[in-house]
Amino acid sequence: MPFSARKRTVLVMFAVVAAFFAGGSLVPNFLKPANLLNVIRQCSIIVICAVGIAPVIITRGIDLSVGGNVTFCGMLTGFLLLRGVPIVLAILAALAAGILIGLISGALNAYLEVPAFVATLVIGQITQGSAFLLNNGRSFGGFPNAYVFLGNGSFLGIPMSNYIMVLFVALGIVLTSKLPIGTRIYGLGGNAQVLKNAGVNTAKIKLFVFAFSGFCASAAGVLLAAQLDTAHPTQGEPYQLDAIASCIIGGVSMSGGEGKIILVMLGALIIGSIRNILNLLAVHSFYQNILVGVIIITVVAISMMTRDKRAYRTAQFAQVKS
Amino acid sequence: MKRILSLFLVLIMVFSVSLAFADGLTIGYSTKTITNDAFQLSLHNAIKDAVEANGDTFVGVLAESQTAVATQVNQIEDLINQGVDGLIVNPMDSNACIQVLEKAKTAGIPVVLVDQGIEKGHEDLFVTFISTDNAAGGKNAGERMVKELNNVGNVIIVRGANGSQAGDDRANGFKEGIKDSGLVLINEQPGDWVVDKAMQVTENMIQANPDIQGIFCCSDNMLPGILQALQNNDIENVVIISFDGSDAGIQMIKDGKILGTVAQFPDKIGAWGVEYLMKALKGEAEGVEPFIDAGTEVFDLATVGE
Amino acid sequence: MQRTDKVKHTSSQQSLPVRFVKQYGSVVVFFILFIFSSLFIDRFFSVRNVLTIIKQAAVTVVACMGMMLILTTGGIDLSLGYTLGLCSIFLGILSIKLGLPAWQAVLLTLVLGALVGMLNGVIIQFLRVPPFIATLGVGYVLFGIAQIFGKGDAYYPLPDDLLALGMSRPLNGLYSILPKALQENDTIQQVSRLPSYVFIALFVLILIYILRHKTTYGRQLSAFGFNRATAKLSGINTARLHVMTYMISSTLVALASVMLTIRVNCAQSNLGGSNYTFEIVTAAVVGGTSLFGGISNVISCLFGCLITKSLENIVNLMAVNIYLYQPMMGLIILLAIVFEVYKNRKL
Repeated sequence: MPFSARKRTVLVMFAVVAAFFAGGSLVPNFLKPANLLNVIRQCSIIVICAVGIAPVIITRGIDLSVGGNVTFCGMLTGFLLLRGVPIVLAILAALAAGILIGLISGALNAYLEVPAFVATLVIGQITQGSAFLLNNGRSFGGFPNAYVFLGNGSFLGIPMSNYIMVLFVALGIVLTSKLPIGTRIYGLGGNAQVLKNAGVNTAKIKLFVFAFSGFCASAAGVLLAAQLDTAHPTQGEPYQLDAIASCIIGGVSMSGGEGKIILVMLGALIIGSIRNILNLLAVHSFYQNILVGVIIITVVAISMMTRDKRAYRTAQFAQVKS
Repeated sequence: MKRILSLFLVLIMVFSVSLAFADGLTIGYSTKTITNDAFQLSLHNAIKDAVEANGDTFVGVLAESQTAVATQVNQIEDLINQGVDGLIVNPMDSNACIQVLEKAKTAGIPVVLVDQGIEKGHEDLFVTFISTDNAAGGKNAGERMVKELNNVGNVIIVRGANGSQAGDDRANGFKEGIKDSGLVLINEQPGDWVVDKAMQVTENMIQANPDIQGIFCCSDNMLPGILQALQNNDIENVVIISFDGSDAGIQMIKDGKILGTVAQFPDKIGAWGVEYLMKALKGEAEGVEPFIDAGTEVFDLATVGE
Repeated sequence: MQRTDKVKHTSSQQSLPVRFVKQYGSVVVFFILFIFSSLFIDRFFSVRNVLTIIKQAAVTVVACMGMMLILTTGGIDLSLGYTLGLCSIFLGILSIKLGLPAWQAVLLTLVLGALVGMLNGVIIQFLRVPPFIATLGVGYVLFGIAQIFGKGDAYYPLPDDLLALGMSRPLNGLYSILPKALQENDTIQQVSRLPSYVFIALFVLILIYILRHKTTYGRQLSAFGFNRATAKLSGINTARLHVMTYMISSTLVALASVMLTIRVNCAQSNLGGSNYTFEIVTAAVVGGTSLFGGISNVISCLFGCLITKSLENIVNLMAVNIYLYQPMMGLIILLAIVFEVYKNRKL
């Protein structure tokens, strides 16, 4: 029996509430307001990365450079800040770098027809490797107070990171459901051939989604460096898996064409909460990764099994490998 | 419906592994990983044993990755919110933990640092820092190498993985140690802490210049690969000094395969760490030295004996 | 109308050199790289160095053959690196801790590889989980198992009978009957000392070549990779083909693990390092394997492996700044990939 979009929203929200109640009842300090705000603050990085990668997955692509981009753009910000560049300029430079990296990945995929998997994987390796070059393998620290405030300060009792996170979610929602580019993104993922026949420039759509992903990853990198008051040449790595996991839990299909940003955000909150709860239970982070892996497989397997089989096969036949 | 049930089931499975807190103090220990790392494992167990010997509860959290800096920070934050009484931290990065240690200070939780330190200028955030200085250890090895080779010869370094603080400190320390001597560093490549990579880079470095008199290896666990590479290329009489002082390394000294290994004393670090934390909790930590060196020593045949 | 005139679609319309580059592009790239390095890089062109590269590439080739088969189905195996580590520590436990004779230990390790492959195949074929996710998840679980059973140990050295399987010198017998003049030739001396695992790799190479290019299975594999639905409609048992391919692949990975473990004389649960899967995938892609499935070539993959190992060798020889290595390799591989993809599409 096929799941309608509305049913999925309800289910994911139910999962979030259930997770919170389960966590609260079993773990002593989970429901403390301080801890909850902290959880959301820790999640903000995952959310921003997930919002960026979601449109890429919706167009049937993938972005494996998220980890490298988060790291590199954080290091770039640190590099500039410690050379006296004004905070605003340093952040803009990092964001520009992120967009540029995304455009390169997008161009490789759209114009040179390099599969997204390979293109972003190698680009990610290059950005990750370059992060080491910026300070000869060492990290940057001791950033200006105004910058650190972005990651750690609060306004009206709510951490700044949370506001920034909501901003990006809003941006993602506007892009995917209020602007014409949104329909084209879903179209490209659902049936690329129809779009091409209608004369739409699919290459530009691809460029856009990869650039957006790069932009979000760079913003996440800037925010993370502010939160930690550190730019370490590997600190973006864990966010690759979590961003993809958030999308999958949030109902984004790996075969493209469906997924809603608000659900992706909830997916990221679920992943972040699970990690937080497991931390409080002193479960080793490595076993946490296994759990995330198992959850992903379970969710995908079930969604595959409950898919409307006839509609799925028709779409597969109609799909031209693009 | 199926999806939510399965997700729920998974969550329940996870929570059934909950922790019951006993009476007494709860001490949290945050570090990066203990897998494939004899030193970290010893340190972790030393702290655990010392805490439990006092009748207190030990909570160990592992970021379980050599690189997940933010994960460690999140875990420490969670420990603070969980209300631990004391913290022992082995920071993955000298900058990243500063913010979260500020939070610990605000919460009135005393902190002892072990193994890795944090950037200067933040001494108010911890009671004391106990470590073996990886850089000093590397320098020891370098000076020993100079002595063994009579101040002349070519040396290479097989490093750890890029981005590893400990590995970088050891290699840089070694370079310090041979700085003003007659030894020449002709090549250094990362062995990534893995045997096969270490073997591959050693083979290639030998190819670049087989005239090698000494090798510094940043960790005992890469030695089998290096030895195999030398053996395959019929290169003998190379002085090898390694790092870690693990059982495997000591055995190789006894077998005459390597000259020595720089030993650290994780047991000491762990035991002293807990001791000073307990002092701080009782309010007896005034005047404690900010840095306590647990020392390194180049183990060689003379030291390990029979 | 005019567009079809310009683009030559069928291979009979294309000239011989064009066809050769299209199928064996990586061979061309390798020889260009080889000649360039021999001329300009110190100590690259020597018998010893070439043999060193061959020895390093031997293990890569075996693992790459497995990955190539899976890529041909349009899938991927992200559990490769974790399988490598698990098999290594498994071999170590069997032969050292349990004291099993070498043949038994190796055979059981290969069986373990086949089981892993079956697990991957079943999850992908019957639970319809995309290969990317399925193999990644399985990989994590394997890593966990390796940690639990290995407890972070490394086993060194390996027992003699196990070492003999991989490190004996099959050409030694031939060498001893050569006339003395030839025996003193340095090149002949070194070639005669090639360890047996290189020959195992050669054997696997020939075997997979026949499998991929000369059997029905190979043809069905291509068909499956190009269009699964059509393949099924034309009577191919796609489910069996799919699962079998993953089983063959993981068994090859287990063999590669055995070879590598013997080569370094040490069983370690994180053998290969965290980047191993990526290295194998790039070797396959540089070797002309299409990520969409259907297109792959054994000889081309062999040279893909030789290219990546030569590049690593060159970087070490030139004592390049250690932090420059990763971005530089990434750029070079990116160029090779762009070239391969361009060649597949446009020529």
